[in-house]
Amino acid sequence: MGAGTDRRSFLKSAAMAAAAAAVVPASVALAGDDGASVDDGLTWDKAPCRFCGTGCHVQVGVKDDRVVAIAGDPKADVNKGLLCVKGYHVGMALYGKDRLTEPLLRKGDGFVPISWDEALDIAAKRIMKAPERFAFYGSGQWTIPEGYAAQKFMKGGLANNHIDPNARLCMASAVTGFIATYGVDEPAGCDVLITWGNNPAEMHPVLFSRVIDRRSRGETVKVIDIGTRRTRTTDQADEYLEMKPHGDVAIALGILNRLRHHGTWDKEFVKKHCNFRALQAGKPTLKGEAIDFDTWSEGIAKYTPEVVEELSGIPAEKIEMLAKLFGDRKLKITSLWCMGMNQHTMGTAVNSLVHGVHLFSGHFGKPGDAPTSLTGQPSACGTVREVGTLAHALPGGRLVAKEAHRTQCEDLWNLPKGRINGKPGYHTVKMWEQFTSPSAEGGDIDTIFVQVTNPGQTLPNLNHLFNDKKGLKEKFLIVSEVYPTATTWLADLILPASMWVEKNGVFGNSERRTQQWFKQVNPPGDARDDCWMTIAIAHRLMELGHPGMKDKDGKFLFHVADENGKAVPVWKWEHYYDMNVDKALVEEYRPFTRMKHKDIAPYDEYVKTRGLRWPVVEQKDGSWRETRFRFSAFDDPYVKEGQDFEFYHSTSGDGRAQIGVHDYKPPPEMPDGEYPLWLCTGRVLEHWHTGTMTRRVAPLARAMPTAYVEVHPEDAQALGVSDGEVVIVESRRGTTELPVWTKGRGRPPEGSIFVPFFDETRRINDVTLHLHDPFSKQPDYKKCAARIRKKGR
Amino acid sequence: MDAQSYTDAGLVRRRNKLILAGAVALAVVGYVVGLRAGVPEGSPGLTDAGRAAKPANVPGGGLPALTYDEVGAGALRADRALQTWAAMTATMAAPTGKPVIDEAARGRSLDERASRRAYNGAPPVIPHAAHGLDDLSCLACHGEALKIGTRTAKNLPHPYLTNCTQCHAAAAPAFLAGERGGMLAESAWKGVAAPRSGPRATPGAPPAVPHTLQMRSNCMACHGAHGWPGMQTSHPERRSCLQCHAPIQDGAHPGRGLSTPAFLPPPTVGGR
Repeated sequence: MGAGTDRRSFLKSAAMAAAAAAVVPASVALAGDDGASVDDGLTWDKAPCRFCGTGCHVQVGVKDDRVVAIAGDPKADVNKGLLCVKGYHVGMALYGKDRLTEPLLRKGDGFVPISWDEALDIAAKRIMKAPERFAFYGSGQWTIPEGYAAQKFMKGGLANNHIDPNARLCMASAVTGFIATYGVDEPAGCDVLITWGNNPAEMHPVLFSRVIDRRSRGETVKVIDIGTRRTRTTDQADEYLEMKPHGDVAIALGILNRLRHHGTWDKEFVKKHCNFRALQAGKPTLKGEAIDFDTWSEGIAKYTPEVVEELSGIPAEKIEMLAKLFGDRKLKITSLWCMGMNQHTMGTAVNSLVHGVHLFSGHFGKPGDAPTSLTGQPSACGTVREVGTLAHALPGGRLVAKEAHRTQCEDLWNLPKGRINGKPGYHTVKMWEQFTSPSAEGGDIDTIFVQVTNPGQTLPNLNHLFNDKKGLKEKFLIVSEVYPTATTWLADLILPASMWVEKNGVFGNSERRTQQWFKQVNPPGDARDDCWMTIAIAHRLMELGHPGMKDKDGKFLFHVADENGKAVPVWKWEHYYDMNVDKALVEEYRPFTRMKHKDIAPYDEYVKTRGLRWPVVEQKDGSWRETRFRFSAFDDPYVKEGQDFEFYHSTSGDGRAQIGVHDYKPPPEMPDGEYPLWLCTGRVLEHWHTGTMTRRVAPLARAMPTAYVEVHPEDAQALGVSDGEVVIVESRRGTTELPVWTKGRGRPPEGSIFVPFFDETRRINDVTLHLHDPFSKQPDYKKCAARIRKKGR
Repeated sequence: MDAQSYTDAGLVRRRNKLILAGAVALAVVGYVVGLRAGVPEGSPGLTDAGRAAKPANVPGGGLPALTYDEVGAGALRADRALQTWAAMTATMAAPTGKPVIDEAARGRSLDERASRRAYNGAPPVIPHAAHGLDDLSCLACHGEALKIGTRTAKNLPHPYLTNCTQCHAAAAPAFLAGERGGMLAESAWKGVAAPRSGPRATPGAPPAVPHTLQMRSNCMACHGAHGWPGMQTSHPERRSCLQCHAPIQDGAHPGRGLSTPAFLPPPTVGGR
């Protein structure tokens, strides 16, 4: 293969030079303890942080082909030079000493190293044998070009819709809730911040401290924390409302009920901009059916404060208090939520209801005055929501089930008509169920290719959805990874991947911001880019004669040409960086983004900036302008003239947003005599998701070395267990062992326990439940029935 | 000299105000303590009666004490004390310049700090003569980082507990010290030393917290404007310290003492 460093450095500088005119010289003065700048001799360039969905920009300091320093990027709107402890150490995530550096093929219980050529051959032949029994499992950490390539390869090439991302597990309900209503952002200027089952002090710390740091300037920000346990967010809150698990649905209904009862809703806003909607009886659809205001009012009439108190555990007068805040038009109210509302068997409903509270009270679409759904991954919005790497979707908000939409995509991709399959593929839970069921028993997925995610640790109820793969000879798991993980543990073929600034990339963060970065160091050993893997496998399939890998004119699906129109063999690794493949794919993708007026700018515009929020629209002077407040006439160029607000592309097709009504339904599993505790799972500040990166970063691992179970002191006493004692946490589905922490990071009430999921040696997802929201298919990781058992009993 | 590193006019004004407030508070406390002198108290905080007796408005703007019940319920980790700081900074002008971080001053502070502790982690002894050891009289100055002459009474790093001298040994009354000062038993004790600074993983990375977080929920007590010279934060307007500064070890974490995180066994690679 001979991919030498010299060539790479050259190619890298060539790629950089292509946009050199545009690159803002990225030098930052590093503040030392004395406040003086340090002459460090490093090369600095920008990149978005690799971790959560906030989308902070960092400055990456490179020396001798290694990342050696990180600084907050003062030019970034998102973080204004601030970071969190993960962001400050993001560069260290590249240098765990067990990086995977060569393709590995399973042989018995171990692996043998093989060449990339063999690896591509094995993967391609496996797919060729039964293309319809192949599935691609991706990620909200996929860059936009990676997701776009995978999407085109599957739906446009293999005519196979079995592609779904891990984001199904973290933001699908926000998407379905989003289709039902709408979202606008900018929480930093609010008067009241309501966190719904959300702990931004740890999970989106930069965003949270931008809000609370305003108190240091003498500004008043009232923080109301609605949660099921006390957290670091509670520590900063003026009000802590402790709800029963699932109580959020009732609370939102209660606020709507009070606004209606007191007549304090925003009549003008609702009259001009909203419709009312309910789920149909019998077989409800996501869209539901239109209803009139009176019918809707009847629907919420039964959710009086007293009823809501019973359902949610929040005192009736606190429901009145919340309704009074929403009834005050002068206040700016931001609602924040993330997994608490999304990982929920009523996830779509509660997303829609909280949007409804904001719409009904007119707290919508103004700076600091809007509902804001946060995502957990850096490109969940960019790659999953917008590129549509979901089993039912196509890029640009198109749906596989609609013939007109398929035709649009076939035309843009220059494919023969009818290439795209009209039947939605398997969503995540179904995909893994089919993979871990024997073929003889109907398990009709035989091969899965996993990129940039770790399902062996993150899928719920792992014993049902992942661990069963062991021993199924006919199943074949291909995993592209940077470190050994709980997923590579059962892999048959491991492909070593480049990560973050070892490759070019484009992310799309929580607030519609598209962010670009360049490759800045070489990956270790023989690790290679995920996007290249997809293209190389596609090319190998074409060589094997798969007809789908060519377009109508017989050109390769990923045909990339240089400026003279000459094809560049980017499927060969040694030529991959001859061109900026990211740029080529982004430019190919751009027409899709205009279909729903989520326009992204030309690639080179992103090189110049710290990200731009779509729709990005070209101005008369040739510059490109981002949109901060979507649907608001003062900022969004796509709002019709004469309107102050327009919810264009709304489901009702009339530019109006939907206020729904959804009846409270209890969670599918609740504590009982046998399993008396509520189990909630989640993250901690120091570790990002499964900890495969952050646990290899010493300052983070040191601060948070292992997972634990948070137990209320009274419960601990009743169980006869003490701090530090390792106990068995179990449910009807599985078991794991964890040390007890009674006065820990978070403080659950009696009858509740909490376990973070970052620790691969203490996998709480062996215990969680895989039941999911009926519309978004997103599982509820936040509540199931569990118990604690002392070891040896 | 602590506050001299800040030249910001707002801080100076604030300091003057504090001195005035402190003088008033001292007068009030003196009066109250005087009235109470010789009246034996129960053990406030240990009983329900103690809880009911919790002072609602503590002179000097301090916080009502936690009961032992509340401590047991995890309130120690709630940043209640931080809210005092919030009240302080709310009226303070935003800092306009960075304080001068003076390495020499930091060294002197560390030495002075060490002189009050038998080992790193020991509660410091009370470094001044104290006649009224009623908890309210401690709070008169320590409730709000009061500057008196050249000395600053540090704010509480932990939420207010009622019985200060339970942990903080008072200096002996002067009449005893003079007479029996030479009678201390000799000891070969050599306590563990405090770290000199928190390590940075890379240039520009925020330094890690070199101490545990136990009994330290109010970072500003030591690192705020009225904290130790040379150890003050350059960015007091930021309120979520642990967002960026991870502790080297959280003494309360059940996994403390692990040198490395546990991973699944690596793949066995053979056939080379």
